[in-house]
Amino acid sequence: MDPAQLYLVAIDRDPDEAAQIARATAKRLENKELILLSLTKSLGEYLTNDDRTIRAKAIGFYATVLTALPPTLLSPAQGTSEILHPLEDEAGLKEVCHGLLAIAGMSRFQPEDAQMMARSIFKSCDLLKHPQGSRYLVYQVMDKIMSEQREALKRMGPDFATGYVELITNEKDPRNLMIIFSNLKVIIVEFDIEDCEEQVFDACFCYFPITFKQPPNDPYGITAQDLKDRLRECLQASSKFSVFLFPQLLEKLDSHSANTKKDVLQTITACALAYEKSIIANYWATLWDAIKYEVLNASDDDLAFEALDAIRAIAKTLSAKLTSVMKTSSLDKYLKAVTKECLTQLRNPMAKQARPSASILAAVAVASPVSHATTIQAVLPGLSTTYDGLEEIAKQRSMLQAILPLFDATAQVYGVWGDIEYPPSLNNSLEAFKDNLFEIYSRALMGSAKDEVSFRLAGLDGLTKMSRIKNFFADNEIGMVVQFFDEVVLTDEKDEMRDSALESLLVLSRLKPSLIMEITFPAFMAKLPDREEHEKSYDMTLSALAQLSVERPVFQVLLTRIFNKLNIVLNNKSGPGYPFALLSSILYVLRRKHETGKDISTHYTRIVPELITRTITPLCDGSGGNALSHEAVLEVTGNIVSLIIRSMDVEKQTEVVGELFKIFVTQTESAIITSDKELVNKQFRPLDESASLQQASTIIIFASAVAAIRREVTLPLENLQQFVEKLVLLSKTPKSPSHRRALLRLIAVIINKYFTTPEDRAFLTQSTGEMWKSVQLADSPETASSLPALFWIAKALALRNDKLADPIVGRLLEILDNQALGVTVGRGFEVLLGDDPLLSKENFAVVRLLSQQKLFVFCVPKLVEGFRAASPAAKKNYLHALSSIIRNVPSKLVLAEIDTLLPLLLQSLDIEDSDIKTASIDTLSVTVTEATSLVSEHISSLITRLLAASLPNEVNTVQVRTAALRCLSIFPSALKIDVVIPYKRQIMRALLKPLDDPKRSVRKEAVDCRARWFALGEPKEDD
Amino acid sequence: MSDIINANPTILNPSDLPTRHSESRKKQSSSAHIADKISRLPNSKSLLYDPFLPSPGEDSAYSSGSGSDQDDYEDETAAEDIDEQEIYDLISTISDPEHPLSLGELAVINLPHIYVTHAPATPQNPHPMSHVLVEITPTINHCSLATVIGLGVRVRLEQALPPRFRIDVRIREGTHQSTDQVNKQLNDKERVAAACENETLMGVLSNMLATCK
Repeated sequence: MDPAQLYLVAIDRDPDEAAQIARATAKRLENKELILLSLTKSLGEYLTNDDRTIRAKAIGFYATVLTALPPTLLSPAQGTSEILHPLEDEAGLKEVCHGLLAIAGMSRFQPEDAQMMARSIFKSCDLLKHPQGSRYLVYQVMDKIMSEQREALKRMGPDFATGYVELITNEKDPRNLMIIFSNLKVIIVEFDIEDCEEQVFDACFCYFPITFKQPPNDPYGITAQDLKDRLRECLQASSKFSVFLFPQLLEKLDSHSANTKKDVLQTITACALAYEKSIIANYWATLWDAIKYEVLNASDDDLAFEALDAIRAIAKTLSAKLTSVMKTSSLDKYLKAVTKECLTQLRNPMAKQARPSASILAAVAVASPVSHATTIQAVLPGLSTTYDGLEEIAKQRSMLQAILPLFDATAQVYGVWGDIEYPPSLNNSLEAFKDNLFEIYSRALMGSAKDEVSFRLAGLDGLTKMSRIKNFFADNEIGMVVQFFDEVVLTDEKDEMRDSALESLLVLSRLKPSLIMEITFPAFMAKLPDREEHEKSYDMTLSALAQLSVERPVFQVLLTRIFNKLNIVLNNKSGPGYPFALLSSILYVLRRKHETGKDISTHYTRIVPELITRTITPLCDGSGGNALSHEAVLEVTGNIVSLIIRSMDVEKQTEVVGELFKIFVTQTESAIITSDKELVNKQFRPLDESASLQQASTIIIFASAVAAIRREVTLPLENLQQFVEKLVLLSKTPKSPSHRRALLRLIAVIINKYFTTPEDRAFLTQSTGEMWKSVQLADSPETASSLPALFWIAKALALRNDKLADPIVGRLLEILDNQALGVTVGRGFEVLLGDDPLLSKENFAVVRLLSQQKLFVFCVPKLVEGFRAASPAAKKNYLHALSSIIRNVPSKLVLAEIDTLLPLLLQSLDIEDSDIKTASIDTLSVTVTEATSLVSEHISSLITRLLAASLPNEVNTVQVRTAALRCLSIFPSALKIDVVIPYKRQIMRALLKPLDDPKRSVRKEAVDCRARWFALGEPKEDD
Repeated sequence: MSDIINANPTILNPSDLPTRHSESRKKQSSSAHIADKISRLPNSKSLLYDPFLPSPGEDSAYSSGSGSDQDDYEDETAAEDIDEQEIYDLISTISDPEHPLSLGELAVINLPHIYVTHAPATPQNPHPMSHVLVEITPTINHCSLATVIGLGVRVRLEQALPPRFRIDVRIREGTHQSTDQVNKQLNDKERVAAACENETLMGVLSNMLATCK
């Protein structure tokens, strides 16, 4: 049998085998064992067979053979006619196309071949008869020959374009259109279509606007936007389309569909940018007349935005090649029309069209330097005259606001301070009006009644925006602006004014840091008192300074000034409040810098030794120190030190931690202490049992610093176990609560990060065992002095999912019903699950995923069980522990267990403890929305308890009452109406009392809550 | 509402409306917030809270010199009376029936035109009656919606004030051509009750009240 016959037999049974046969045939052709002629001859009878499927299969065989041939073997002329002939045949179009693709891919594919192929396809293909998959192949063939032999096809003249356009008529398939649009673009750009422009244009524009919606599970992933983009590329490809395009587009602009309008406006923008200037010069008037309406009467900001883009695009293209304002240019004519219209609208700045007119002016002003100059020169004199004639402040305000966009436009064209790009060569036309504008806006800000907030804000905005423009205001003018803003920040009564002024100073501090340092800093520092006063005269000033100091040079100045101020304040025997605020402002800046990704470790030298020395040396002369050793101040100092050390690398940390241990532990001379080294060396013994309260409290700083050390850094101690034992011992007889907490945190940090060897773990088992024994013997919280350490050690271990934590936590749970200790243990659970700022991931502590969840799952069943069995007096301890846990885990965890927990939560509402109550109500609030059916079951007792909690008494603090009312107000929207409606009456009446609550904030909650219940069951107007 | 009665009212800028000073400082001003964070010494309850103390909250000598912790934990005992600003806050956010603006922005409700009087409490009567009078300024003097607005204000106050308040809603003298007539309607209990039975009217009212914050 000849291969053709074999193929025909095989193709239906096993396509793979058939392909194999075709490949073998190709191989034989390649090896010259077979010649093409005999192959075509043998195919002949099948190609003319009456059965169309046989004809198709025969072509398929031929095509597959051609595809399998090496591209250099044949010259296309040899095989083309056989394959082209059956094109008219409806059967086998797919197979033919495969063959054509193979031929077009041959290296000897000649120009004539391409032309012949194109002609035949145009002549004989009636694509409408074929499914989209076959049509797709035809378009692929066209695409292929256009990329292989474009020049040859161009030589066909308009025949090719018209042929192509006819070929694609009525095509609707998105995948096919993607190919067609890209081919059409090539035709429009490169082919001679002079005689058939309109025809080609229509072939494109008939698809406008694209209304295609991507079906779900679309295998081709073609979006409407893809089609829109490709079509737009066709439309913008030739300026000559403008004759047809613009009139038709503008007609479609009247459409009611926002989508169509948007598409029209975007297409106008694209074409206005792409077409030649001379074309746009012919059309700007028609376009402007139509588009302006979309801005001036916009109901949709989105569309107005697109329209502004189009208006800007026209100005941009008309600006081409212009280097100066020319009265006869088309740009000038366009801008005359635009500015005239907008100026008219702006005569009444309160009218609805005023603001859109202002945005139009800004849009054309950014188009180009020349456009900017023309616009500014045309409108500013008019606007100034109008402004001078306005008498009402409200109108003046609107006018000032209307001009603001022009400043932004100017900044866009001429840049802002610090930009490195060259400014346009054309002079900034706004300069001619600089003095006048400066005066108008300054007067608005500084010279009007204090109550005119929005008017003054307009003044402030204008000055800020103008100060930003590069090379516009001179430094002394910006200096004056900065002074104005300083004055507002320091003295204004209106918060909004102060905030905006500070915001503006922040903007200027990035553009002109030197002016802020020279003008604002001295002014603000002068406002800071030298001693603590009972009215807080410094907080706003410090806050402003801190916000302004994030830039490095400014921060350096701030540090110097704050340290100086701190000296003076301490010498004046200040209380802790003021020094606390001064240091907190440094901490604030460091945090901001850290958050914005700046390296703050470099501030170590400037800050850390200074602060530690200043804190410690006064404690060594027996005087009892100063405000710096107040524990709140120590806490801030600790935070500053911790934050800086945290951002250091291993090497630097090793060095610093060595120095710190010298001061606090080994009592040797350290480089950190910058003065009175010897005195410190002799007198500073913070870890002695006999240390003074103040010296001992400095462990707060030490703990914060050590907590920030990376795990890779070895602590400079031979025996860490011994050190921890010592710390535990000290924690049993603390000098103050915060002293103890610092010690316990230090213990927890060391255990969490460093106690990992079997010996360490054995040590932990043994020492916690001993602690547990002493706790068991204790008969009061005071004698159970190991209890806090047990909680902290358990926390350190639980965080890294260490099994050693389980027995400790288990024992702690067991003594919840202990008469003497239960209360303390219950509260201790706050430590266990609460987030600790020192023992955190950021501080390189080992915090395993799900550690909270594990602890939660471990504790809750035991708690629930213990609660059931507990004596009535001890139940409270369980609830306290539960509440501490719930408060500190994500509500998702709680909801998973809510079935067992809800009864406990309800009971905890009866407990006389504000914090427990608040925590329970907060949890219940989440429950109401997340576990509706469960809540519905308990709704009656829940409502009774919440209403009771909304009435003021000793336990029901503002917090409790607020939480209760908020929780109640969730019910109407969260639960089914038939569940809640029976309670409406009861609640409406009961809420009358909270309406008269002594506290305003509670009354507000009551009003909102009552309004929600009131609306329940009312028919809604809009439905 | 097809015909808009006053198509071009004067509008106050939201930032020019009266607010309670302390609250605005707490809620609006970011820099005041930072200032608070920077300068407020932490108190025993927050930073230095220790669960292991025998009796929490009474930590001996360590609250020395702070005394500035009143903000987070509001003073529980000091009562705050319902005052004019509070009434203003309750009703100034009601929407106008024909503009997407609040009565405050349209200057229909003005702080100086709200009067609250409390009778002094006596041992016999610890919760004496209080009285609130709200005078409404219609945007134009023939505004036929004045009654609806007045009714809205009245309904809002009745929902939001405790029962010991007597509520008076009036049209401000000289701002409307039929002041007396409208006032009569607004303060006639039966007419108000009848109006509240009217579903269309209540629909309009609930839309007006929907924006109350």
